[in-house]
Amino acid sequence: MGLLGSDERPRDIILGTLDDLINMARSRSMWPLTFGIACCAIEMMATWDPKIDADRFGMFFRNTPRQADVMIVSGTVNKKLAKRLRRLYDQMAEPKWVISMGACANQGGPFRQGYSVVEGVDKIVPVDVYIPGCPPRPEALLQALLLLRDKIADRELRYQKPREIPADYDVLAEPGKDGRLPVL
Amino acid sequence: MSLLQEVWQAVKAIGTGMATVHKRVYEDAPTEFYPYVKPDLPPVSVQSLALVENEDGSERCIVCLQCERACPAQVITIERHRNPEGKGFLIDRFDIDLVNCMYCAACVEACPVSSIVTIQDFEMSTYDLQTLKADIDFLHEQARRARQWYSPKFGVELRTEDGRIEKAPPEMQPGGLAELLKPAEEVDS
Amino acid sequence: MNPIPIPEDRHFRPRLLGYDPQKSRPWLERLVYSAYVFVFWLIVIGTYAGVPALFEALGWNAGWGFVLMRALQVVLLFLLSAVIALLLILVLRKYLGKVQERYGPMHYGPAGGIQTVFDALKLLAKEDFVPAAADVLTFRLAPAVTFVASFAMFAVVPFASGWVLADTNVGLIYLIAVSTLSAYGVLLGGVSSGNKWALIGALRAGAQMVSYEIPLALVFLTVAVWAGSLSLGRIVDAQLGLWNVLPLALSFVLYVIASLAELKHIPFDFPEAESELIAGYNVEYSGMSFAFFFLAEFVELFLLPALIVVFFFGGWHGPLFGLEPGSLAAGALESLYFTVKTAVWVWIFLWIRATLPRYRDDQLMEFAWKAMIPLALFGLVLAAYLRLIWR
Ligand code: SF4
Ligand code: SF4
Ligand code: SF4
Repeated sequence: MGLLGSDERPRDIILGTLDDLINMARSRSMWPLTFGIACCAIEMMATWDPKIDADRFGMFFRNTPRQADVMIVSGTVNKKLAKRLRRLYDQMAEPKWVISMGACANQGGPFRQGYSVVEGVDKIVPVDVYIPGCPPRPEALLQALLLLRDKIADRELRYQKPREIPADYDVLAEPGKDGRLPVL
Repeated sequence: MSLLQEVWQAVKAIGTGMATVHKRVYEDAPTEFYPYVKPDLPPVSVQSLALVENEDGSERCIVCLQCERACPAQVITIERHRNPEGKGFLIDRFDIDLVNCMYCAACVEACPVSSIVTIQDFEMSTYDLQTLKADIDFLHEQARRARQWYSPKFGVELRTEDGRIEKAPPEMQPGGLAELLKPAEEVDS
Repeated sequence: MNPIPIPEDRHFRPRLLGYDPQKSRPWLERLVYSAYVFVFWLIVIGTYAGVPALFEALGWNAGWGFVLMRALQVVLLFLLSAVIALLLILVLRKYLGKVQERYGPMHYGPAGGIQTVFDALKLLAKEDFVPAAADVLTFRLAPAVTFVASFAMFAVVPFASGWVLADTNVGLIYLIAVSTLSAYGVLLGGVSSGNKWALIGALRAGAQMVSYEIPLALVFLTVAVWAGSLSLGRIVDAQLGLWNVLPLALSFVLYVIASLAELKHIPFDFPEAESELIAGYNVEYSGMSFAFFFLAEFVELFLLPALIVVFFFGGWHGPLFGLEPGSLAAGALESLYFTVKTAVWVWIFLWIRATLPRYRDDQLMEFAWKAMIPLALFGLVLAAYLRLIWR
């Protein structure tokens, strides 16, 4: 997201520089949302441990979605959780980014044929950086966070939007009259 | 009197705690500066998969489909045809879906010729999920970039400076090989 | 074979941006941190000596000119509080990092020196969200009330002899009034958010801050009885021979505990207890409104230790090395003494924060009403008695 909510970098030399400066600040102060789902969340915690210490790059967890910039989806998202996840995403204040961590969040991973699993969190929220692995190393998460930093700080990359997410995606639909979720 | 004792104990406990915390200030942090210094991973750590070629550039893989059968996540897709000139098979397609792979290395254990191996390249994060749909070229490239890899059959192998493939010395091998060898020498001497 | 073409370059590596600790230059790191402290000191000198001298030279020190001068000083003090917040947040994060055997911010700026500037810029450009269930006017007003209530305490805090905006003879009463006001900001912010967590946090904040206000006020009273004045300047002057911390040791300990509670600082951080209430009273705030809560918290983290120094550690007193009292050089030196003493107390507060866990909510209230207030009353009587037999 650009300065003043526009979708491309201002051509103006002053506004353009200001846009670069603000996005530099955004890229260097990304506060993730405290939000762990499954086993990958253990590695997410390890990323803030003394050995890796992502706080070196000015990142620390904020508990409320209003004050967070980055959502790290760290684990298996099932259909029941999908609505909550989308709601947390909608509650985050702009600008916001999403990192999909681990095979489960990327495309369902080992559980992708399960009846209850969302095959890829990018079906419900727009994802900026994907991390493969089951679980990925803490360094890999730090690498993804730094890739996100580079994306925000880069003039061209930061206006490349992730795929649009249809709001009425079946996963997010309310249960029907019989109290059961629609079948995908 | 007991109230005073309790207060004294509380004060003492807080004081001890604060002293302990203050001592930590002078201790060295175990932090590794990740993007500036790459961590040195042991050769058995499974971070990604690669398909090794022989030194002369020929295919090591004999297309026996053992890995495809062993894979619990069913992410390996192999297509083959019979070699018209000799025996064996030739590869038509060798895809590993590294997105859904769970890096369990069951395929590595199943491979009879140590063609598919584990490497330590963990920097696989990407802006685009399609980069992780690995085909045979990508797997070969990963193997060419790797300096060391592991498979249970051949143990740790190294790529030397001039491009040859060598078996690593026993102290680099996992499973306590070096420890197993040591007592034998000691018994001899 | 894949439906979407695979990009050429499959390997994305993070760029090595930022300050590489391998090539660290200690002098540069010291320079950045000294620059903060130097700017702080410079603003103090400018506010309390520079601006009045300027207006006197211009002949504007009466009528509207005087009002203008005060306004300029307040603007400078706002700048000062921004510098304090930037520096203290940085120091807090570095210190917590040190204690937890890691480094804390270190790549953006030498030794992480400009990390908080980036944070502030980011918060400035972040969406300022008002939830649908919120009462918009109160919701918008609450951060301002909280910040103003903390900021208004600057008016009576003396940085050196005569270096104070208003050396009124009701300074202590003013302090009690203003510090109670900041509870209103927190309470209003939490209640008007229309959020359960914020409501619980706000009610906790209200109960806690009002309860600990009473021992705090009793300690203020003790100090006033001992010094024989309600003016902060005269309280400092009365400590020329003996710092209050010795005769008023009991009140001093109570004051430290009560100001920890007043600060909503660990071990009394119930209003924003992260493991229980997400972020407590500020759960619905984002962007700059949240930054003002943050700013208020760190201005208080400077001001309450500063008041400890004023009440118990002789304020600006220190050896003057023959400088003429009242001159610019003496004032600068005195404000330096004051700042150093305050910095030591800020460090002790951070140290407590790094050590102690959180209390339980009912223990907190019990402690306030069953221990703090009787002891504060006892300290008051003791101080009055000591003063009768000593002076
Ligand atoms: S990717 Fe693997 S480690 Fe991560 S949540 Fe899924 S199963 Fe657990
Ligand atoms: S590591 Fe496991 S999941 Fe991945 S390809 Fe090999 S057998 Fe399949
Ligand atoms: S098991 Fe080994 S040799 Fe057989 S197909 Fe797989 S990689 Fe090739």
